[in-house]
Amino acid sequence: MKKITLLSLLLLVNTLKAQNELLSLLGDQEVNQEVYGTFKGTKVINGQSVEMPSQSALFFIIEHRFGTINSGAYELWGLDQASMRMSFEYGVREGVVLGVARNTFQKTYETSIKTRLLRQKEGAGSRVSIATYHAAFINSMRHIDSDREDLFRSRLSYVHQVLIARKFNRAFSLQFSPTLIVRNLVSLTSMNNNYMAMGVGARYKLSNRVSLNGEYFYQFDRPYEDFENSLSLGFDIETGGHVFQLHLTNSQGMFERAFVGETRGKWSDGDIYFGFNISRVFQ
Amino acid sequence: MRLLSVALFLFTVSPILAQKYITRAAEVSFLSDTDAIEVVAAKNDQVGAVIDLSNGDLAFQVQMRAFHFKIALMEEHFNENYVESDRFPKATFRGRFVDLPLPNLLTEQELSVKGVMDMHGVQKEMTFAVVLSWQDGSLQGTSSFDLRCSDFNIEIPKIVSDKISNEIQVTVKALLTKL
Repeated sequence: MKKITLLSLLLLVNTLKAQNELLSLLGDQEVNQEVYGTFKGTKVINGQSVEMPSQSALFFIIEHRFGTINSGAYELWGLDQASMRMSFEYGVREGVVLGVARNTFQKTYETSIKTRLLRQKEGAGSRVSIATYHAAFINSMRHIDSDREDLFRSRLSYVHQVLIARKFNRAFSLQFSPTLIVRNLVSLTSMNNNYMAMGVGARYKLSNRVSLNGEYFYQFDRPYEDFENSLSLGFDIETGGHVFQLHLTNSQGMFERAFVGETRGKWSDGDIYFGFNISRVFQ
Repeated sequence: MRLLSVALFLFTVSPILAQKYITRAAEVSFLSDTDAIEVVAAKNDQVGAVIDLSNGDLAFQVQMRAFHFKIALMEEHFNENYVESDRFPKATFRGRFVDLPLPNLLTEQELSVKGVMDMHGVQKEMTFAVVLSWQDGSLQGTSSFDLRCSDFNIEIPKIVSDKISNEIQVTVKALLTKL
């Protein structure tokens, strides 16, 4: 009896062993090791992230910033004043995205191109993802300054960015965004036409669908002393084809020239704007 | 004692007697309920499969990252939010044909397979039908069965539960050649 038990035990062990051996015959198969989901949206909050629509995907993004929270009950703590940005981003091919946008602020039109240079991989391969972002901004306000000629080139400003991001683990991602802003026309002779800034963006996933985001842009040669550095905090909430981003920021502008170099709000004074971005994917 | 030595003998030589058939390019595709608004469909053609005809054992290994979707964002969500492929990079199935010894496969045979599916950190015993036949010296196996996401702790949030079905139809197609 003992022998039979031993035998059947041995056979059972043998079966499991055989099946495990079969599995090990397959070895570890190579699969795509590219890191996905460094950020949930193509914007961290105000600034661009390394994420972009894939080939032939179209993102439609609506962004709102309300008035300052400290404006009181009469303005319903800012909700009466809304500034908007609408944009389309289209993946012409994998890693190349063209965008157009329209901002309420100075009735600004935007055209942009974002390209992916490098993608972070697990194991061997790149440890960071790198993308570049270039945009031209066109101020389309009616010309009212009769002392100055209405030149098209005076309405233009640009941003050039390198976006370098790393997803450290499933929850935490960090991005550095060296930024150059170029303005063809400035309002005071004491202002710089070109200036540099460094953006830092981060996200921390609280759950599979919610993450906490933060973003800061430090200006190296501040074009004008009254302007603040942009600081924003918010949440990303993802639901299938939508990403909702809710945030508090001291910048009302939603394009680089406006929020990197022309932020007027002071967090310490309560000049904080509540806002949201909603993106929808069409494919 | 003799019995034990026979068993030990079998234990050690069985791998040599084995008739193993293998592929690293089997196809697994899945489709969520077509009644749902958003059809979720994906295909993985890098699936590993081994069948040992001598004892009826079989094993499958599925790399979750190798499932490809038409919509890139769906693929990202699949990996990040549903199967969590960074934590659970592969799914495996280890099993055995129920009716042994295997019949000769001169004609197509529908056979039952019983084993353990290991996916998303959950092990579940499963039985399903497999159609097995010879195809020019290669062994062809096909199967289709339903999986419930909830059985494998794959949570579908309420907000998308009307879009994404809990029931997933899985189809497996493998052409195995002699090892």
